[in-house]
Amino acid sequence: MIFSLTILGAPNHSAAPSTGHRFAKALLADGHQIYRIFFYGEGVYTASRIMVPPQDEYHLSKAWQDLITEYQLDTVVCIAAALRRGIIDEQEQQRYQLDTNNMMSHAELSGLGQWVDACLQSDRMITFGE
Amino acid sequence: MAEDAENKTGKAAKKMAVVITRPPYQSLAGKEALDLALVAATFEQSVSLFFMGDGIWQLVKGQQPEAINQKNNSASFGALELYGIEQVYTDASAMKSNNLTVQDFVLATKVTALNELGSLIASHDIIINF
Repeated sequence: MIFSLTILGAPNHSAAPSTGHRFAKALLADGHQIYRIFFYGEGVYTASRIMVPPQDEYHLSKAWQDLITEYQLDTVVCIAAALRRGIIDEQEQQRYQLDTNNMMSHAELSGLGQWVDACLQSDRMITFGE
Repeated sequence: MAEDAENKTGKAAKKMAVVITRPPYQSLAGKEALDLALVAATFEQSVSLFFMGDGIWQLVKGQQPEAINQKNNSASFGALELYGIEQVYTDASAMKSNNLTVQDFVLATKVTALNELGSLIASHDIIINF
């Protein structure tokens, strides 16, 4: 079956990104296909590549990055939700002349049309709420 | 008609339920739910909005959030019909316990009992809960 996932909650605040991550791993282990991961709302914080949790704690955003890289998962971070929360890729850093960027690689900033497209292309869209 | 229901991806439109359970101005949930619903409607999806629990406060008339440096979303909720979103439901029990009636809202809603809302929401292809 073809799945897409929407993540609405942030690490350290909501179970959404960690439950969603375990669900994605379970889908892939069972041989399902993931069409897209969509980070929206507070969920965009998951896409920060500069989180530094204590060493004895699980590094959730790195775990997401590793999963996305290993399986080459199509990953979209909502651009409007990301910009207002300070999740910035290189292109937006240049556009707004900011002194840094912090978004993980292998993900793309794009619009909500990509969420609608994922709903249409997938058999199931599973939301992990805030 | 079947052709009309298909968008540019060539996939048939889906029934999408956007559920809002939180009040305005304590988080971006209402605003981001609205943005998502409007984009989905623009992509010719069949969108229903469900205001439940404290989410019904999103629709209350006479909001003046400018005083706390916030933008007023209730005007956009009032214009949902212009975007082709006609299915707007509110939770009858939440209205009763908050002493609100349809006259307090920026638009006419279908006031629905909680047990009916459950089966209505379940009849949608895509459910996203803010």
